[in-house]
Amino acid sequence: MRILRNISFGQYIPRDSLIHNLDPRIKILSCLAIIISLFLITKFSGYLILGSFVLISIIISKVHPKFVFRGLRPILFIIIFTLIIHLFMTEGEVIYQIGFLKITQEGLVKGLLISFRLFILILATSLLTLATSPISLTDGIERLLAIFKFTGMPAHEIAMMMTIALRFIPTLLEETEKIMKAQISRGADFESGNIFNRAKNLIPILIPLFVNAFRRADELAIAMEAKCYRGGEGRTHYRELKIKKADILTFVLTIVITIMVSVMF
Amino acid sequence: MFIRLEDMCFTYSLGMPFETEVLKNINLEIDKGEFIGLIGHTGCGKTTLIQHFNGLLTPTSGKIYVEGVDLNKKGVNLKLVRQKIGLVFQYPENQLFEETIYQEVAFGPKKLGLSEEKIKKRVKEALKMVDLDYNLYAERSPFSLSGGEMRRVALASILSIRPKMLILDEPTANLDPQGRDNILSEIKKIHYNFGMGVVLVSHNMEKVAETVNRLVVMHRGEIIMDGAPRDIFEKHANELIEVGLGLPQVTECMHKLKEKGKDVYTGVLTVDDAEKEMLKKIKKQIKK
Repeated sequence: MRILRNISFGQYIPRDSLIHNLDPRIKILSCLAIIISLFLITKFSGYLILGSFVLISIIISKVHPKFVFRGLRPILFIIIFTLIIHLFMTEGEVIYQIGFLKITQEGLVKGLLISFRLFILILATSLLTLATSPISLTDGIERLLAIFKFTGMPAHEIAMMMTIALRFIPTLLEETEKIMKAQISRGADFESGNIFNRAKNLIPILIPLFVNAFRRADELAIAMEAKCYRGGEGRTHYRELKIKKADILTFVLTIVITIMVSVMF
Repeated sequence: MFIRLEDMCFTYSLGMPFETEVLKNINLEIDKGEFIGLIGHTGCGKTTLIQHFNGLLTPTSGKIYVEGVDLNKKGVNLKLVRQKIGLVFQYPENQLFEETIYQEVAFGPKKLGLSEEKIKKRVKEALKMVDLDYNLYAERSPFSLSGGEMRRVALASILSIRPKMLILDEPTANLDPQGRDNILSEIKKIHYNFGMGVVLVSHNMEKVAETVNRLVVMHRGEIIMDGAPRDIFEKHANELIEVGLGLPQVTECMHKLKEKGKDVYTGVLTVDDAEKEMLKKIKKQIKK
């Protein structure tokens, strides 16, 4: 049950900082630029520069680093796994040998580079969701997707679905925990048995969870209709997004750094 | 002593920036077969407290003993503890999942590894305890029932484990007055006819006070009162009002009378009690 509590995905930490007050579109695009450049960099020094850029942003955002680094925990396994695969599977100059396992210099370099890449990727995206409220995040996505409207993309509907999905993640987690505890009290066991038994043991959680989720969806739909929700056409916003000076400066800075890093390193 | 808590504290998200201390230095002893009302405001830590009783939560510090066994020692069989202490969560109807009511109630006994025959006996017995006719209900789907009936099925699915103590978290929440009275009278019956210990958790003094034999009052993660309902209402009425819990309407009425200078006993719990008390006083005055 502890696991459920530790999921920080989609969690928003309200603070009053430069990063929090940026336009969500700028934050999303900057994050995208960082991600793209991460895949173009081939040298450590490039990751060092980009990594420190992200770290400085974290400090400016006033979000406790504990929260940001907690996002790393679930993918730590993937990072270590890829590192090990690269260490042993890359051909090249052998620097250490245990039996038939060889660690090569090329493998070490490649493995570390990929670890750094994943590491910075998660840090940057965690910062985006930690420092942007779900509402402004989806607002930003809606406005960005509106560019593709001519292709028939339902930008507002997609954004609305994302808002609702994000909104219900914590609710569903809380409910899962509650149902789990209730079933444990009735004698259910989720911790022992082989994989088939364990899967079967999940039924007492999944069925109530689905029943409640459907009921909730129904209620939400009725509530939205009662408030005269009719979709995106002609809908105005309570908070209008406006690009300010700080937004332009941040965006220019990010673009300059990412282009420089991806071209030079 | 059935359950004993010693200096128990509990903090949510320990070490995280959202850290909150929910329970502070709880000391509590519960005997076998007691009928207790655990009262406190929403968010005072009642639900957190009862989840410690059967090992769903582990205290940050302090100890819990159930029948003398320390729950947080390594290698303690918590399954056995959960068999002894039946915990019914708030809105238990949200945990139903089987195709028929029979299977629903049989879930617990099945997990205990009982024979088909014994399971059937327990299901019959449990449904009888909550006043549902076995022949009418056993093969119906639990999702076809009314809210009150669903709650009774959920209650039966705990009773079929045959716990020694039943803990109910807000068993009357969201029920109409009739459904509420039905559930309460069933709980009373379970206590008096089967000798099962009961802990009734609620934020509402009304009804609970006249049902139980002992009241434990919580406020902001601490136990502030513990005793017989009559004593608490007679002596600590002002404190109860101060923490915002208030008194049952009849009791409040008697306190008002006393304020006006009438010398009445204020520890009454029901309208009948109040009536007797007032008649007594009136007779005395007539005699004078």
